Parts: sequence; structure tokens; C-alpha cells
Amino acid sequence: MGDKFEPKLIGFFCNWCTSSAADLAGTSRMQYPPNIRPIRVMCSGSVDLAYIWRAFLEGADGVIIGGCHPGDCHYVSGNYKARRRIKIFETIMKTLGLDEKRLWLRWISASEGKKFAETMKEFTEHIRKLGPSEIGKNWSI
Amino acid sequence: MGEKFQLKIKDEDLNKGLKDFLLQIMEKNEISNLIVPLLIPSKNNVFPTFVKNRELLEDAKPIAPVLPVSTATMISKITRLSPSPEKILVFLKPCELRGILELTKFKQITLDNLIFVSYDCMGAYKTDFYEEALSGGKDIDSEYVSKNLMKGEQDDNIRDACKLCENFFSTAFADIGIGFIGADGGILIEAHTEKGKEVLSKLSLEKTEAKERDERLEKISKNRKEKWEKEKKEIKKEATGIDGLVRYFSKCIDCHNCMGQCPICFCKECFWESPTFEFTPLNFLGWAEKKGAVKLPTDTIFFHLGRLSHMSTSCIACGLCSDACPMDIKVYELFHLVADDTQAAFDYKPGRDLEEEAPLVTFKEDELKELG
Ligand code: SF4
Ligand code: SF4
Ligand code: FES
Repeated sequence: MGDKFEPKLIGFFCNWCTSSAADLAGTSRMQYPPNIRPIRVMCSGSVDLAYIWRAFLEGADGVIIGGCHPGDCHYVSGNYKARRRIKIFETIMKTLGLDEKRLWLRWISASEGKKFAETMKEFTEHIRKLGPSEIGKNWSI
Repeated sequence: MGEKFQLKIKDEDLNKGLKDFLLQIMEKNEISNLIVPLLIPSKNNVFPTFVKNRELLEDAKPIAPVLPVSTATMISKITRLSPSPEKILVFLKPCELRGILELTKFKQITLDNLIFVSYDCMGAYKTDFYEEALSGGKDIDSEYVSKNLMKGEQDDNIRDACKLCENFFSTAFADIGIGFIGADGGILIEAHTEKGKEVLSKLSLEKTEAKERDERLEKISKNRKEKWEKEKKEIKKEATGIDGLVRYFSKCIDCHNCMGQCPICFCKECFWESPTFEFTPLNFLGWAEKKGAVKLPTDTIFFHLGRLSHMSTSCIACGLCSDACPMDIKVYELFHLVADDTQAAFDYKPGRDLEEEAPLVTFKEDELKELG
């Protein structure tokens, strides 16, 4: 690995779609970077913004939330609510100069194993370009 | 807007005049309960008080320039579980009314049988300043009336949040609004709702025009807005990036008083007070290992970021968080700064309209496409 920056990434993936897509990518032997630490959640709408802050404050360089496509949420509207929350999170980051580009929201269905693998590659490269996050380095938080 | 009336107050004392007006409303409308700022028996402070015995109203101070707590929080304590079976007339500041509106949307207040009277507020003093003035025997209320209220001006000792308040006049949500600004030298009475109209119809009041009022209110609002925009730039410079935030909250002792006084933070089971934040030694060992050190108490910045995420869309910019902070951190300024943006993201203004849904309890299918 040497001096090369390996981004630490946290993924909050919906059980009904993106998590299955991750499994599918795995069983189909599609390669994607090992940087991502997936956390299975019951719905993108169940990710309280506190958990995203936690990830950043504890040293994540990027956070990605994966949910069902609009209209397909298992709980009808969890993903729409998630989208509003992400908007709030992004706005706070922007206002406080916390580099909002480190947060992504993506819709990836259970059958989209390929999209999952590609998105993870893209996200990893995107964060690699941004470099390490400052947020998690501070121990006085 | 409804019809405008003129209130004639014989006495020089505005507090007494307004008290008489409230009593008149109660008599003519068969209302036997009043919530109004009242001098406490020790005579050195004023709190919103639920009054039944009218004799006690001798000490009513409706426009007392002090905001020790939000009446919104107090009304929630009274009507959260069920509506009041009796009518209650409530006299309060415009920011408190905005809090009432938000708490109603979150089902923390039942509006039935509540009638609200608000006024053109020129701001409050910090509670300790006001208490000291009263303890020292100063007639600070009268001074405030002549120097601030009647002139539409603010002296230096007014709270910072009040100096920046853009919605200081009795909002459309007040059943009855009392105006001093552009009131043609008198006191303006205006019904903003059907309820208010009905209440006023039982009184005999003289009509008036107050033609210059809107223009004058707008001018004050505009001035304050400009002042705030300037101040925002300064706060942004200070509190930028994680290091800036750590500096901004460097005195924070994690007491959560800011949250305790916030009218919007109504949750009974606050996430930050929950067992989620009871840790084991392993947690601390892990953090210290990873970062080399952990400041104790930890999670202070986390607490503020979390609170911003949960409630800033409804922040009514009342400044009570700053008042409550034992470390004199400018909590309100930072929350107001962020709230301006999170609210603008949804074109939402807390306290504007009861029909407007709070951003976090609703959604549109066809929005925010840029996010996914
Ligand atoms: S965050 Fe502060 S200014 Fe905003 S509503 Fe709460 S107490 Fe008032
Ligand atoms: S009141 Fe002040 S010291 Fe207490 S938690 Fe809030 S900001 Fe920190
Ligand atoms: S169930 Fe997948 S986003 Fe709601």
C-alpha cells in the first residue's frame, strides 16, 4: 500500500435493494474496491443523520447511502424521506465548510449488481481525489 | 389583514392599559383564564403565569422586556396531552407564537380554546440584566416603553437575537395583534383570524387607518436583515471546517442546557440523552487508540451537529439557547446561520403558516433529483 491514500468509506445500504446488489456483485465475482465498509440497514429511511455524523467524526473519508429507486421503497416512502434528510446533511456540511462532496446518495436495486460495483469504484476514486477528510482527525469533538 | 382599531389608554402605564384591555376581552367573551407575564411575588422577575384570580393581575406586565423561558414550551406543558376544556387567553411575544406554531405542527400543542394576543416586540433584555434592574428598584418597563417600544428602536442592552429578529411584529397567526409602530401615535388593535374578529366584535373600538405601518415595519425588518447578513459572514469565517467548529464550541461543557431551553427540542426521549451514549471502556480505548487522544467529555461537536440536523429546519431564532448557555457560547448565532440554509433548501419558514408542513415530516416525489 505504501504511502498511497486508501479512503475509509462507510456505506449504509438498504436491506431490500443495495445490500442485495452487493451480494449479487459478490456472487457474480464482480470486482469492487475493498475500501467500503457496508452497514446493512432496513431502509434508507432508517438512517438517522446522527449515524452519518458519527461515521465522519470517527474518521470516515466518505459516506454513501444506498436505497431503493424512487417508488420502490419496501416501506413506501422511506427513500423520499432519506433524500430530504440527506439534503439537510449536505446543507449543514456546506454552510459549515465540512466538504459536502464526501456524501453520496444512490439508488441501487437488488438486481443491479453491476451498478453497485461500478458505483463503489466511482465513489472510491472520487474520495481518493478529494484526499483524506479533516473531520475525523480532530480528537476534540 | 382585518380591520384596524385604535385603543385608547387613559393611564400612562402601558402594562396597566394592556391589562385592562385583556380584562375587557375576557369579560365580553366569557373567558376566565389568562396566561400573561406577571411579576413574581418576590418582585424581582417576570414569568409567564397562568392567572385565575383577577386581583393578582395588578402585577401583570404584558410587555415586560424579558424572556426567561418560551411561553411556547409552557403552553405545550399545558395542552400536550389534551385540549384545554376552558378558553385561555394567552399574551405572548411574536417569537413565542412562532414556537407555538411549530409545536402545534409536531402535535405538542392542542390549539383548541386558546386565543393568542401578540404585539410589536422591540426585544427583551437578558434575564439577569432585567432581574438586576428590578432588584435595584428601577422602573425598567416604563423606560423600555418610551425608549424602545413606542419609538420602534432598540437600546444596546437588548438581547442579540432580538436585535436581529426580522419577525418582531404580531404575526398573522396571532388572533389579535397589538401594534405600536406606525400606529398614528396610538395603539393599534388588529384581528388577524376569524377567532380574533369574533373576540373584537364584542368590544366597542374606534376604527383607524395606520397607513404607514406596513412600510415602517418593512423598513425595520430590512435593516435587521442587512445586519444579519453582515454578521453571518463573520460567523462563517469563525466556524468553518471541523477546526473552526471546535474553536467555536471550545468552552462547551456538554451540559445540554441549550437543548433544554429550545422550544423546538421537545422530544421526551432525546437521542443524545439515551443509552446509545452510555459507553464502555472499550469505546474509549478504541477512540484514543485511533486518534491518539479523546477529549473528555467527548461528543460535544457531535451533539451540536446532531441537534442542527434534527431541529434546524424549525429553528425560530429566539436565542434561548444562547441565554441558557452557562459558558456564554453564541449558540443561537450558529444555529440561526445553519437554519437559514436548511430552511431555504425547502423554502420553509417556521412560524409562517400552520398549513406549511415541517420539512422533516413530509416529502415530494418530484424533488431533489440532483441527489438521486
Ligand atoms: S436553536 Fe436556539 S434560536 Fe433556534 S429555536 Fe432553539 S433555542 Fe431558539
Ligand atoms: S448550553 Fe452551552 S455549554 Fe451547555 S451544551 Fe449547550 S453549548 Fe455546550
Ligand atoms: S426499503 Fe429500500 S429504501 Fe426503503
